[in-house]
Amino acid sequence: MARLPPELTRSARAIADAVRSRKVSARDVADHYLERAARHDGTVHAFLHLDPAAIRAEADAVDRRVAAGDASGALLGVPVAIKDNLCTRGVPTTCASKILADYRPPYDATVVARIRAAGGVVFGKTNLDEFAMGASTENSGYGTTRNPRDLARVPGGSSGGSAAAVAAGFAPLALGSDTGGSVRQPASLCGVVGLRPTYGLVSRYGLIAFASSLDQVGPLALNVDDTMLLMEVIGGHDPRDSTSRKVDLAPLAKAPAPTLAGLKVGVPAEYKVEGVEPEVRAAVERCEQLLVKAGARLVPLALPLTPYAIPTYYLVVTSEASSNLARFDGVRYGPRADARELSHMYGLTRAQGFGDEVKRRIMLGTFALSAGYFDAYYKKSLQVRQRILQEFTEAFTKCDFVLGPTAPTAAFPIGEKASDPVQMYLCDVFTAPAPLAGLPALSIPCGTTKGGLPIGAQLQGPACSDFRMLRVARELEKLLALDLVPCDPASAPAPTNGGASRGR
Amino acid sequence: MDGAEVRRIASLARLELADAEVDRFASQLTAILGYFEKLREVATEGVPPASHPPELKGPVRPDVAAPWPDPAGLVNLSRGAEGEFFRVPRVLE
Repeated sequence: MARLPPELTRSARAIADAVRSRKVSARDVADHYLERAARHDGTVHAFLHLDPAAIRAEADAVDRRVAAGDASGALLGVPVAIKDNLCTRGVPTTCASKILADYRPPYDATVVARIRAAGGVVFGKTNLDEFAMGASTENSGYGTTRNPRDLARVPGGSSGGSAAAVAAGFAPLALGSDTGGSVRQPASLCGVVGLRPTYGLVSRYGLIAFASSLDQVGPLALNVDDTMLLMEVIGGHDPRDSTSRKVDLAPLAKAPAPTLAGLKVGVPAEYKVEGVEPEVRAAVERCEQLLVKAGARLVPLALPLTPYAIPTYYLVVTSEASSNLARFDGVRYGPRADARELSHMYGLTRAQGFGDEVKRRIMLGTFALSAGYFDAYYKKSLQVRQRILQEFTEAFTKCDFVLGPTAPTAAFPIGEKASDPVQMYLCDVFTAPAPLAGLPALSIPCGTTKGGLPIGAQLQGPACSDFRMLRVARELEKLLALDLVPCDPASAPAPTNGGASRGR
Repeated sequence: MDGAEVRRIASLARLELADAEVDRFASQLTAILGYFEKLREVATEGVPPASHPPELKGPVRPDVAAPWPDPAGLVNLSRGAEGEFFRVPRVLE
């Protein structure tokens, strides 16, 4: 039985160093994580696709490379779980949708190719809300993922499979995508770190598009240092993505660590409102106190447009999604409904292939963009978006970063919000603003509720402040002194109705 | 949003909904649109729309064609692949 020394199971960087110095083989590392997944993923259901033979083959290739004297690569032998809306060559990529059942892309997403080039081992495809539309992973076409820290609760979403995989110790690193909080909110609910990078800092080539002015790929890990490690690998300009920024990542990544002394931390009044659970509020206030004790200064802020970010966000994403998802019509990929006439074939294929939330969003977006409603809905949302952008620009003249909760509550029970779309949308209240402004934001574990559920604190910063923000978060993480290790799903509170439902 | 409006929008979006779906979506979409009305509280007169984050106005690069190594592999992903074409049902009855 492959067992990694405990110090390796808490640090991806330590794994890469151990493989580099041949203290452990990439194969042993892969076996360790495969065994954990085999033991617990029947309950958690973090993965939609996991091919042990392919993973062992990739790990063996890394070992041969090291044996041949090439020990380069920041992720040498490190397993990285990949959200199933990122293209992996020849490997199923479904977006958790029936409409992409059995789709095997002919190419790797740039971020996946960069992970392979850095010696990382692509470790399965993780569950998500269908097309990344949701905040609980309950909208997956292939069954819900359970929160490995409490199996009766959701892991958050849409990158719920990635967050659950890291929290449960199925993989030390994972990739998610964040359109309105889909990396940060599940990170918060599962007790791991999740970064939404600045818009344009990470290539989206091979990320199946949901809302193009907001989508961003981001890393998840047990701790801030590992998050930074993965960000350094996946970030940087890509000519294949026309929205990719021509920014040299190296100097940003190598900049000296900022000291907390004198750091100006913005604390918006709007983040301490009713609806935020008292335990969440208390955990974030503890972060404030720790930062102050370390010499930072709290700057009271007003971000009065915060409550308007959700309706703005949902009008923008649904409008963009209605356009992006028009390509799924049964012609070029995916299942095709039987029909004698073309438009009937489109209509049936889409009706059978998309789940309810995707249909709702496509219809909302179609409505918002349709003649007679465009100005009142879509254009209005873009004007409010401009004002939200201005509000952040102004805020960052007064402070270095903004601190608050990632989500208003800890993980909620499976089924609690599933039948009420508006309640589910409200989960995004603190995560939707940053994407509208293209800003980086990060969730780190900052404590637990009395019931043992993780609570996340969010930092938001100005454009391209990602690495400075990560360094500040690393300092805060030290002050919090939490034990950031994978949990044991076998000792988590049990699901209320048996094992996870599996669609396949 | 009533059933007729849901059907009109679904038809624009190429979604053939079942009757039971139409009723459910009508009440859900009405609730969501009602929530969106909140945006009317925000003054936006004269504010230019922001369709993208700033600093990213149409980056351009030379339009250089790059051959794809396996065109047949792309076409063969389709259930209607036929040689280098996609076969679809007739467009007109």
